[in-house]
Amino acid sequence: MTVTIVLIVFFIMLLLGVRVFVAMGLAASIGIAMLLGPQQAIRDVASFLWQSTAIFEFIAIPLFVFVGVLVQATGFGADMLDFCNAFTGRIPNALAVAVVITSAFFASICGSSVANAATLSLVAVPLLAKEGYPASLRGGVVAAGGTLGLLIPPSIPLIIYGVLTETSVGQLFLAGIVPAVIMGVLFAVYLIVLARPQIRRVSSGFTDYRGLTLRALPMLILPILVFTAIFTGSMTPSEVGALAVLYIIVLGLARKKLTLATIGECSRTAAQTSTMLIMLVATGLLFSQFMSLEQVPQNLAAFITHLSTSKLVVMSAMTLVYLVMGTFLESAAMLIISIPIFFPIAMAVGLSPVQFGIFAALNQEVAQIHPPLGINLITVSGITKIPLERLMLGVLPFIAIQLIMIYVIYFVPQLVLWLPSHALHF
Amino acid sequence: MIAAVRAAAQAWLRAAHALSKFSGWCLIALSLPIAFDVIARKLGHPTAWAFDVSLYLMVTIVYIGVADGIRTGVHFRVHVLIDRMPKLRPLLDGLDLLLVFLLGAGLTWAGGDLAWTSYSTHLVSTTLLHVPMFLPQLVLPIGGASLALEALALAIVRPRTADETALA
Repeated sequence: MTVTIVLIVFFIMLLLGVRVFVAMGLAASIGIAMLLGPQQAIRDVASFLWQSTAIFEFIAIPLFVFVGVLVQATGFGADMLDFCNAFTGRIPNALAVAVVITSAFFASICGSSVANAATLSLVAVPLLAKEGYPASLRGGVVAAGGTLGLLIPPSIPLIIYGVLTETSVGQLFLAGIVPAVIMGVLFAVYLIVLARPQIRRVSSGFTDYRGLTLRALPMLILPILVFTAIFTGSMTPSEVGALAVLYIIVLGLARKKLTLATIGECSRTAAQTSTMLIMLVATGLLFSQFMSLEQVPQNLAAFITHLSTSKLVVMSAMTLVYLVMGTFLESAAMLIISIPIFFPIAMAVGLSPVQFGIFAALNQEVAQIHPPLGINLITVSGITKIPLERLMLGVLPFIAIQLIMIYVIYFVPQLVLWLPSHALHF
Repeated sequence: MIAAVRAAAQAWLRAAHALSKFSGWCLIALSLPIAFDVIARKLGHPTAWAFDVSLYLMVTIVYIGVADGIRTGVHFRVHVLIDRMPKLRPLLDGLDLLLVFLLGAGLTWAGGDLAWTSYSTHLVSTTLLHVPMFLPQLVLPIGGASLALEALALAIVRPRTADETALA
């Protein structure tokens, strides 16, 4: 009964446009007060909120968001795009393929998919327009390319998932790499083979390959350092994030791309985004604490497994729920609300925590470019002024590829589990 | 009287914006102890303080900066009803601010209670530094109070729409 009341209150608040973290925090507090009494609820809510915020793994979130905002401000994204563009040569839709590769590089430096899409909207979309790419394709490739960041370390959704489910963030980071590379390749294959029009250029227009490489080199070595540190276990994701922040600041100052004022503004923007994410997670954890007190996830898991023990059916049902949720919920909020309920179900049908983490991140990728609330769509549309309706058409093939990948990792779990099982410290 | 109340509300919004800037500077500071600890560890002398300092800096970033995000609209809302019924927007914004106020007030009370309990029971962290826990926990009531004040100020200054309220 208490659960029903709390869920009704929560969804009414969401529908009425109350901020998601406020709705989750209040609904959970009401539920805990109904179960334990107001006096005990005050103690428990404060204590639990404190414990849900003071988590060391969370430190990686503001740091990698900051890296993303800094790279965006420095314009290093343009250097990376020039480098990738020069080396894609004369293949069909070479520039669009270069945008996908740049997105993957960029994603392996910063934890924000939105920062990735925003940077490439500014840098790549004018170039794509100049080469004659239609609005739907140029917006689509930038919005979809940005989502690669959700799988490639340092992915913020994977950090959040790791904290919510007590799964090793390092293992999740490694698990996301192979699916991300495959998805990047599938995006590129789609652009080279199927996307219309097929734009072939006479030459990339670049001659100074050495100069381009030298300009992009400081950015290109960063993903290698991030990967090595995590793979060997010599540093935690938070430590890698801290060093990456200092590296970009020093590089930006040395190349005169940053000033103290810009750094200050970037830090405020990054702090706000991080605050938003961590408040969502903290109140989400409070909400899941209430649900656990009422045994909701356990009962739901038992109910679902009673209906069907087929992993495929359960995963397909979850994907369907994610697609529906993605139409009215932002992807980060969607992850935080769904994981406490879906995780026990996934464990009950025999998925591994790491495999389910990548599954959830892939679903979040879809939601990130899923009409009408996909945040990458809104970001790209806002910056490039490409109408949302045209962008929606442009991202459809990429959504199809992402949905295929969801089933690929189900049928071939080794794609996810192989790299973490070979890491040096797990 | 009304002008004075509006001026006070504007003053609070500016203060919350300043807190948000402070939160940003804490973020810059956050990278320093962690990076220092990595280098010190590699040299065989890990620090005893970097863990505590970075953790409490992160918590400070979150709770000190949370209020200004209400004004800038950084916190997600579901816009289904708001977009379909624009005439209801002032009412829905008012409700949103009321609930932000309630959450903030509750957090102030509950967070204050937690910090007071930690203070009166001499609770310290389990790390080597033995930090008195009430000190970092004070950010909970501070963050809660700033949320409540932000909601109140926004309701006074711009009751029609809470998002993207410009500072005077």
